[in-house]
Amino acid sequence: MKNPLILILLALGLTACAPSQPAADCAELDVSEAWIREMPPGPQVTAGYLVLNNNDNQAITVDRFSSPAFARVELHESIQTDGMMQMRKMDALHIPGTEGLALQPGGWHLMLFEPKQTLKAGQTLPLTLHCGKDSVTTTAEVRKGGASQHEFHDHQHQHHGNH
Amino acid sequence: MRPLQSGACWACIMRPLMKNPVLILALAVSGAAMALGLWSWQQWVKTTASISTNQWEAATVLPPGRDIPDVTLIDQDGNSYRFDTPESGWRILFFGFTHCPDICPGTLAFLRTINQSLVAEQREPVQMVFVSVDPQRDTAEKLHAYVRYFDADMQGVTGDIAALQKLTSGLYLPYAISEPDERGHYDVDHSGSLVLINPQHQVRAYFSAPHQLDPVLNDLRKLTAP
Repeated sequence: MKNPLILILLALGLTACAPSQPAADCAELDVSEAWIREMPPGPQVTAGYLVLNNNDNQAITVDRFSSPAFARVELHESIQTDGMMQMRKMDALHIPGTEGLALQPGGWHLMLFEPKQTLKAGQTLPLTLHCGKDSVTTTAEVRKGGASQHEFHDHQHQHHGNH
Repeated sequence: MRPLQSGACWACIMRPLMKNPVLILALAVSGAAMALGLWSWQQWVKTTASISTNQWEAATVLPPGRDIPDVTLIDQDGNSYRFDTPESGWRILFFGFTHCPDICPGTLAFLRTINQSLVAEQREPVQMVFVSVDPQRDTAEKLHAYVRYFDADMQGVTGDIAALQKLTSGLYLPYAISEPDERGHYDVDHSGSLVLINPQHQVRAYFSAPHQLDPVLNDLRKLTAP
């Protein structure tokens, strides 16, 4: 913080993120605790999880996910009906104003198809959430995952795009 | 309007009653019988509820004697696999498919943790068996690499459609293969339940998803105790 230029840049960045415009963007969306399940050998598909917090009063809609590390990324939900586990593809994720939600094992998750390289626990990969024309990119850590979120520790960072 | 005279009504009911002691006795007896019935029903509900909630934390335990369906499957080494071999011990079956990104890897990691916990307590591990209901994609070779990723002792089995259907319908755990998407990827709907099989090849208990470590472990220790 000795460099005044950093302070000016920070101030400018904060102004850009101020909630003056309607929530048709990701500006007030906090993305944290993103991780990707290390893939067992064989299938070219795995899952990704993260936590979202909407700091705006208005709802935010994430309508697409992407990552340069995978051929495609889809939003899915695991649901249990009459004892059957089913996966349902979802078009978008709506986060009501001032609320949060978690993509976690056994519920909402990202389905990540065809990784460009073999995934190894400890690697970090970029994951982008798109809200219309805006986007936010987070860093997801590859982990050997269990069935529950509680087994993991989270130290992720995020930065906003298009600001 | 005339005010309602309830007192008069009571009098017209009670007057003939008071004159007839037999009727009074009959009413008293039937009232007592109803009270006793209600009381014993409440006691019964209390007792059964306490049995089901106190004894098992996660398991739905079956009365002994229900054999697992008689099928021949194929294991991860390409050998035929049967449940009724004499050397078999306690087993837990889980049904799924390897192209399942969320539920299956989570459950298999859970099964590995179960066995790690049992071994840490100097107990015999349970033989974990992953049954793929997607034989079209999950060949023996692919199953081998897949199950060994989770646990060196985990068994991966699959079979032809007829055998898999006989097994899953006999265990009341149906599965359904969904329509492929535009890129040929398809999902398989399957049960999230675990099935505990005893050394006599009988279905002993079911554990329904979502699974929690301690309740499942506590029930397993009791169910598999010698």
